[in-house]
Amino acid sequence: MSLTAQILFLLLFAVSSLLSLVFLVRQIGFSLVAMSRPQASPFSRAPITEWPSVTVLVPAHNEERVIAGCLEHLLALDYPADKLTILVVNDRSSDGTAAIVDDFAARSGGRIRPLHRPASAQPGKPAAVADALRLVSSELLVFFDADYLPQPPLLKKLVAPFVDPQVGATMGRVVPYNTQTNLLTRLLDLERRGGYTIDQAARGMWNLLPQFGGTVGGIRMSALAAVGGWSAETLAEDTDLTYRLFIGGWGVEYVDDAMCYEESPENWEVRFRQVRRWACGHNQCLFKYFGAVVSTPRQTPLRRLDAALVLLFFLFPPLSLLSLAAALAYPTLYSYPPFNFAVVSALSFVIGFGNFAPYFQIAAAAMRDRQVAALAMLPLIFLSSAISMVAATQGLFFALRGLWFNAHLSWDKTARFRSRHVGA
Amino acid sequence: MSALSVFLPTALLVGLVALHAFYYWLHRHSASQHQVELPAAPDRALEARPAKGAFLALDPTTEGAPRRLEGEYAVVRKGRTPFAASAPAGAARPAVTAAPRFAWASIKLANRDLTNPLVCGDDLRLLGDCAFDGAVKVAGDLTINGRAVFREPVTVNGYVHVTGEAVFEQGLLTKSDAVVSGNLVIGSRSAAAWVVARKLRIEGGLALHGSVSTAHGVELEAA
Repeated sequence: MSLTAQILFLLLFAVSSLLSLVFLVRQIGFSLVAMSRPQASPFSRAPITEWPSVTVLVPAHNEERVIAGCLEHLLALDYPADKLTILVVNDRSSDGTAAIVDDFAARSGGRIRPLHRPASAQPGKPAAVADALRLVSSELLVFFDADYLPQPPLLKKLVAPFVDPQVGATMGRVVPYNTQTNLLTRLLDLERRGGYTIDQAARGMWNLLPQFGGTVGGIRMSALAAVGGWSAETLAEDTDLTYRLFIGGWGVEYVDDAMCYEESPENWEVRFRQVRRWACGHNQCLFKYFGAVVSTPRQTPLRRLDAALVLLFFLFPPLSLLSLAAALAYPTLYSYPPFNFAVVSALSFVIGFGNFAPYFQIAAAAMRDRQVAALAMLPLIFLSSAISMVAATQGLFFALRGLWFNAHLSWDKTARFRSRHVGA
Repeated sequence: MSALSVFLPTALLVGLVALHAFYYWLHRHSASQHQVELPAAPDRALEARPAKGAFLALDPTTEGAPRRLEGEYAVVRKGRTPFAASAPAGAARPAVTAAPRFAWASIKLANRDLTNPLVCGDDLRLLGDCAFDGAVKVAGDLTINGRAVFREPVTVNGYVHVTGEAVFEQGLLTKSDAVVSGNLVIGSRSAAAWVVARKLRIEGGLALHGSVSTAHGVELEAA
């Protein structure tokens, strides 16, 4: 084995260990700071009396199982009726979605506006949103997915942070309602808790960059126009917008008490495809914006550093898998190495990703939610993490294929499982 | 390769899988994750407090749920010049439509009137007479040494120090503390306004026409 190969091994171990360590420190720091602060957003405490005009946008592709429940909840939102428009985009649906939307629109007194996209239209949620934006004339745009069940106070909580002229987008907390269905949904509930009430919340508390998630979130239309409008070029249009806002000097405000219920995937195949799509789109954004993120003069160095780390997030799983494989191969190739760096690498991986950081974060989240009993399934979280690592690795390859060979990347819709609203 | 070297790792793996499967089997029916407990609205408990004229019960800086105080009240520290109420203001508007002016470093303004919204990426210090027609965001600390009138909401990530006079016609939201050793005017008799802060410390004068909501209470230095 040549010296070059040895150096490559060591480099891989060093990079992997360093990232694991950074991730570990960051996540534990986030957990501690989030636990020390109240969950309610300060913006939710401002008694605002006059509200801006808002368009609530609901893209729907074959959503007959869930759309009625969502529209019922949207019509019950606590918001001045003359300032609120609900725009439902029936995106090439071949099921009963169009009929349900039209029925609700007819009975809503003009509050619901349907937009039917023909079968020949460009597929995918980003393209559907791009079409819908031509009909939007309000100051703000708020997104909900068709399976979401927003509670009445939610909209005002998402809109209130726009008193801050730097806020370009807001993001609420997504909470799965079907947590008890099976092992996967229980694990996803734990992941969601850690991701939102610790990671996103702490980023907000430290004035870093919470991520706009494309749903349960609002956008200032003037900010959207200032950063070049809506982009349908990547599979993660929400991440794309988050980083364009960041580069332009805008911010995203995370509102932890703006909770909305969603349906989480109930089988592993759907979950795999979902993570793969996220990873692919996120890495597309990495290729597009990494240089601009680290060099933008419109953000502080700490914000740039953390935003760059988040942008690198979906590069970690493939790197970790590669590092693990190398850690297995290294002792085989070097029977009696002077020092077994593979052990260091494997240990750092276990500490950073496999054990303490996510476990600590999820435990902190459950404590913050005052639901420690929810942690019963925490010892099994490695199962969903392992599946996500493989899916994210495949997503990276998809993104690279798109980058190098200009290959077409198609939108992969997440399947729905609910049935109680069919025909409502 | 001995039989043991094959058997032992395999047995360990099978054992680990069996252990986890057994753990899942034990807990599969526990209904511990039905939903996230929705936190109580932060101000709900405090809205029951007396309103008009009941402002500024001294509040120790204890940890806990955000507190809110509503009222129409004026506190003037002995020895300081009383100040006039601000001009009537319109209702609060949370969205800013005009394009903001961005400043990416600490800035000091003296005797300036700005019509556009302002986003200051670091500290903002105000001297002399300043007026802001648009919303203001300060990523660092806001220090008001002169007299400043804010006609739209002001958001501050850092601390707010008022040694001169500050008039907030719509509202002030600071994610840190506000310390007032000068004069602070919130709203007017014709239009209520609000203050949201982690903690509000009043060492000078305060004219409140609206509400104050704090996470760590309000401190009032005895005159």
